[in-house]
Amino acid sequence: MRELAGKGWRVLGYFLWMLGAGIVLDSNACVAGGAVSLLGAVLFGVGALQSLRRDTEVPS
Amino acid sequence: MSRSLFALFNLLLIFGAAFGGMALYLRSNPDVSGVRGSRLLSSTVRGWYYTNLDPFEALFVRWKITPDLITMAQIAGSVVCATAYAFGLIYTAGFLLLASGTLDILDGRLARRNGVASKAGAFFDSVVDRYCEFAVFLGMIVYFESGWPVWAVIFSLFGGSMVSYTRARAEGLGQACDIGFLQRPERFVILGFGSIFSSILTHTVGGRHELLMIVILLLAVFTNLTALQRFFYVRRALASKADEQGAHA
Repeated sequence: MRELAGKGWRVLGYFLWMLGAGIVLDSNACVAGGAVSLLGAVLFGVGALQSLRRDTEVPS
Repeated sequence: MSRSLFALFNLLLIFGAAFGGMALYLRSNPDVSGVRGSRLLSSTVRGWYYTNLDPFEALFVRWKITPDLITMAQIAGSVVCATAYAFGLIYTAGFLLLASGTLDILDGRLARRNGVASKAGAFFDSVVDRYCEFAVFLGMIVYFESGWPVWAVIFSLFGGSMVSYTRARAEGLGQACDIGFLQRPERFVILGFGSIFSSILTHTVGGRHELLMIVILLLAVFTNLTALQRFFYVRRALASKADEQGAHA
């Protein structure tokens, strides 16, 4: 899954985050929707951190 | 109400992240000269979206996932999307529409990347696109049940099919025809985001998805105008070709 490092996780997280918001709005499954949203936010955060680290890394 | 506020707050974050990503992309001075844009979806916006798909393309290449498999996933996504529309889960349906539109972009890009792009693949993709579009609009008809929105959905479906048909027929006659205000990606984006915003509006302010009805009405008008735009363009181009051939003879 190394191809997803950075941008890939960010995009996947973003999609899950959006889906979670939709589940919350469309149904009564607030816990499930909130969990999907939270998972998306975590993946988005991981991707953003990976991108930041890559941008600030000193090439050897 | 708190549920709506949660979704609204989430959505603000989602749009904030999207605009942030777009701003970062623009800061890198991207070269989008090879990306074809339109009035509604510029080459910069398309270029940004395609860049976001790069990691998945690379992953699918390593996993040996074929473009046809992605097209199958698009069919499944469209059927679930249609079911979501039929059951009134408008936000989820809009999201799934955007996701299946993304799969539609991915299969073509994956085929080109793998060097397996073929006429047979393009034909399969085009036919699947029509069926997926039909499924989605059928779901909307089931949701609206009766009244003018049903007619607007029918005219949108017909307009969308005519946009594709005019291009296919023109290309069959040897005339390129990739012009038009509302092509397929534009229709996906308008309907997808229209559904999402309509759902938020309905859950926060109230109503019966009036925004979605307006979006479908606009689609009904502009898809048919696009088909007419293509009709006149191709007719003029073919007539001038015939005149040129007559002059040379």
